[in-house]
Amino acid sequence: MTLTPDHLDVLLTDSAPAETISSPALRRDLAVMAVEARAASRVRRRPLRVAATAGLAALLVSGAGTAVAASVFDWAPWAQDPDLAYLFILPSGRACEARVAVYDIESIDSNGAVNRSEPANDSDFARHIRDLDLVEQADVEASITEVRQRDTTVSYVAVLPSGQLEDVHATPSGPTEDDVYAAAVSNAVRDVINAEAASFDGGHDYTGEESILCETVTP
Amino acid sequence: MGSRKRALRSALEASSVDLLSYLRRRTDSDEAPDLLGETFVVAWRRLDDLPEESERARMWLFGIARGVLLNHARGVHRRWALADRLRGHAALAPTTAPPADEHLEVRDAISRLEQDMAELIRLVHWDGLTITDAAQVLGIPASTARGRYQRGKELLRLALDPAVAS
Repeated sequence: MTLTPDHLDVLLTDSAPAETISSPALRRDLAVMAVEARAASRVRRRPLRVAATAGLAALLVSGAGTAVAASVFDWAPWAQDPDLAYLFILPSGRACEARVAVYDIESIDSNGAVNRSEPANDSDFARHIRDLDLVEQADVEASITEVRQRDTTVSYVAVLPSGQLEDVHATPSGPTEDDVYAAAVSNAVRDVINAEAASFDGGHDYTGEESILCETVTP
Repeated sequence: MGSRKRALRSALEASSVDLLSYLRRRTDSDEAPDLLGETFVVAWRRLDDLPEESERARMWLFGIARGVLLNHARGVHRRWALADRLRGHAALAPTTAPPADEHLEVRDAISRLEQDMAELIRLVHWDGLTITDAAQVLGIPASTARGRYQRGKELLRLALDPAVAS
């Protein structure tokens, strides 16, 4: 056998160990790892605010219309281009993604019904939110404390096996660690958006949509 | 700074699977997720150095991954909780079939080259990089990389087919 230049190229290329096959689930986990890495890169300067309380608790990420592209969730039309999107991991290890859109309030009628501007993502406040990294400012640990203090004898927010967050009737066992954490993340992010609205342009009224979807589990 | 963070997120998202492939091909595949996590950490710490052009940013990430590999060879290692989850993906399961003898012979010949020359060959033929891009990963001028690549292939041709030398 004589090696021609072309044959050598083929031999070299074929000798490569198998490549890693991409999948939506793999890409999502890699996206979460990228966010964890960002938190880890700051550890020397500032400890993770959520780590001690929630076990694994990596908050992410992306503002501006760059919702996590690797998502495998089925989002409503409004959530296709959110103003804020982030991933987080529940204490049990389930991955979740949250998407938020903000809308200006055009009017509030006599019944208290809000008329909002449409479409979303087309207001100065929405653009402002997209330019910030609000998730980084969310104090999840404080929010966990607040959620734990809530009265759960009637109902509480739970992460359903289907992956949706929903108010459920109280159960004898009460909310799980996953339930508490998911509610806390949602609240903490909402708090920073509210704080930003309060300081935006002397105080800005807005209304918003939020959706959180988590991996499904078999009950 | 916000746009720079977004740019790094995009670069990581675009290249993460390829970086994982790169690390799995250079080390025990079980360790690759940990090394990828470390690569991400270093990238965030060096955010200010992120090139603006996307392909250069991609090569910058490969260069960081290579640095992590070199540190790993020196025994620097960190375990990542999420790496266990990554290891659970079917795509990362160890292959059960051993590589063909022919492939082992070629890999062995590459590994006997000088370290940077071997890595240049791997970057081009295993990871699909151009010589210019591989030069950026290795931190050498493109002209140096071209000469080294040609020399490497000559050596491999001799090693894999002694008849060519006669």
